[in-house]
Amino acid sequence: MIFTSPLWLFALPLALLPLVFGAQQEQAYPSLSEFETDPLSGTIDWALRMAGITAIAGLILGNAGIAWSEQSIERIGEGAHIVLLIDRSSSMDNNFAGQQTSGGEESKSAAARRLLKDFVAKREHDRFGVAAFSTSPMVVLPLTDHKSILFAAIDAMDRPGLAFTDVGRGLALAMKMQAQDPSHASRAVVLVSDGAAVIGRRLQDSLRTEFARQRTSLYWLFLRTAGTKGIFDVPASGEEDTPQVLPERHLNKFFQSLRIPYKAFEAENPEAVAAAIEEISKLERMPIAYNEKVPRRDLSRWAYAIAAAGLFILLLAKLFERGIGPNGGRYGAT
Amino acid sequence: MTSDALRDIAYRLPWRSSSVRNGTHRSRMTGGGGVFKDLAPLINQPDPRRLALRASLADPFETLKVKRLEQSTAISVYVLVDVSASMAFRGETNKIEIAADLSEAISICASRAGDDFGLIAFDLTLRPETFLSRTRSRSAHRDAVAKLRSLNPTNAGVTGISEAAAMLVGPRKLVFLISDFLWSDDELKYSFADLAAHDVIPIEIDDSRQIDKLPDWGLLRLYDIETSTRRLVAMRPKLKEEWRRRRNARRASLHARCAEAGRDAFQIKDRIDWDRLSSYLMYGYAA
Repeated sequence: MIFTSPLWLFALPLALLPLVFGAQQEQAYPSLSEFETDPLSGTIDWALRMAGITAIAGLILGNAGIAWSEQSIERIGEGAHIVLLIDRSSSMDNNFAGQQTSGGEESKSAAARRLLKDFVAKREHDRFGVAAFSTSPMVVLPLTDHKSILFAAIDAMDRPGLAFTDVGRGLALAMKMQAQDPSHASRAVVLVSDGAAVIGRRLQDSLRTEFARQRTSLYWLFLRTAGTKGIFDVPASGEEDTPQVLPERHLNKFFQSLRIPYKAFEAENPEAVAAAIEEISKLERMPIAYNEKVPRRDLSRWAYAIAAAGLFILLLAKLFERGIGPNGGRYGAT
Repeated sequence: MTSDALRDIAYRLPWRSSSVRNGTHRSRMTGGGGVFKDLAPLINQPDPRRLALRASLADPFETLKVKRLEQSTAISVYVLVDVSASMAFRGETNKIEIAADLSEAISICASRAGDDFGLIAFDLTLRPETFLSRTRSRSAHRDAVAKLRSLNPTNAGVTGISEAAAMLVGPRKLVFLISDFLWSDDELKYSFADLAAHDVIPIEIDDSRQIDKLPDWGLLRLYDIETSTRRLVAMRPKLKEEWRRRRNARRASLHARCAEAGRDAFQIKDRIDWDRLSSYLMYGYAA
């Protein structure tokens, strides 16, 4: 509770004035001693005094600029801090058959977008961040629980993508975003991509360190285009087995070697993507505590509203006031 | 009030005075002129001018009888005015003004009848500035009434009535007791006990603004001028009826006390009805 002009508070004792003075004109009467006090009148008297106190106190507090100070509230939710790491390479704009979309066909990015939005909408207590990567990674949205911003960020995937797929730096960025959040929530990175790339040896080492430090789950949602090599394809004997030839297989092997909770989903059509997302949402159910900042809230309008209510009651009482003198005239106390 | 509006009133006593001074009221004294009283032997009353021939002749013992005549006498009339704070209430009327008008009329009536007139105002104690001991001086009457008219009631309480009663020593007097009679039952009882030796005529000054003309609905912040208490009253017909009931109960107890003391109280509401007052003073009740 703070006040923008606290000097006004010196006037606050004035609020006690209604205890001493009534709002109505006093009228001399010969003798009241023979009449018993009337409970209803007593209640009204008390209520009017209270109304007077509220009116004066409300006006003073309103002038003093009463407000709630900025606060941070700790909330406990079930869920996780999830960074959606989304591939923005141009191949995402193709359909699952690897062709340019035409007519009613859904591109991979559109399917991913639709399903991710469903996912986000279902997970009420999670906080999400969004990062995108193609040639270089970029933060789209830091971790937040404001769903409308999230939807907008996911919609932003719609923009036409760029050529390359730099998974390694994307992951590094996602880990950095997670590291910025100091809470003890369970963490997850959902990597959505339709291809893989070679991660350099040096970057591999740094990622290994990061994942070991932060205990982050990793889900890889691989939107496989028909006819391309899959994650789990074992090359036939005699075929070359190098990251350059089979980047997906080797990236998967790299993730498995991280010794973190890791699961890869290979989805070849929108239904498979939906199933994969369903599974991720089953896996990530841990209670999390997080702080939410509440900005300073100005309460002076409420103070004025309460004062107005008090004044309204007093005004009503004034309208109902009657005199006992001739023609409703009023007499002083003596 | 101007003297034009001031009506002539008269009073008659239902009792006989034993005062020795000549006047207009019936008495227990015998004297030179007036109404026939009784017969007495000439030995006891050696006044042969009043010889009662028929009674003397009819007496078997042949005693000479003399008529005795009643001597009319003068009495003292006192007006006791309650000037406690509650008399300061101004509704339709000014109660002190009414009390002064009444006192003036009574003083004129008293001096016309040859009676003494005295005026005593009291609240918690006697108000010495308006005190007038019994006198036949017209100018003294006028002064006392003028002082009463300009008096400002401020003190609460009516216990000064005992002191006033102590001033009324001597033979039986006619005492007008003018008040709003917003007294407790004890105050009524002790006041009438203090004045028991005299013929007390209670005159109650009421104001229709006190109950009858109160608004039926509304908020009133009332200030009790007698006790200085303040009270907010949410007036409504039910409460007004309750107040009227209480006021009537108090009036009933006043009438009971007055009946014990011998005379019913005369009520003045908002203005003095002189004809009713005269009728009340002559016959003991108001038509």
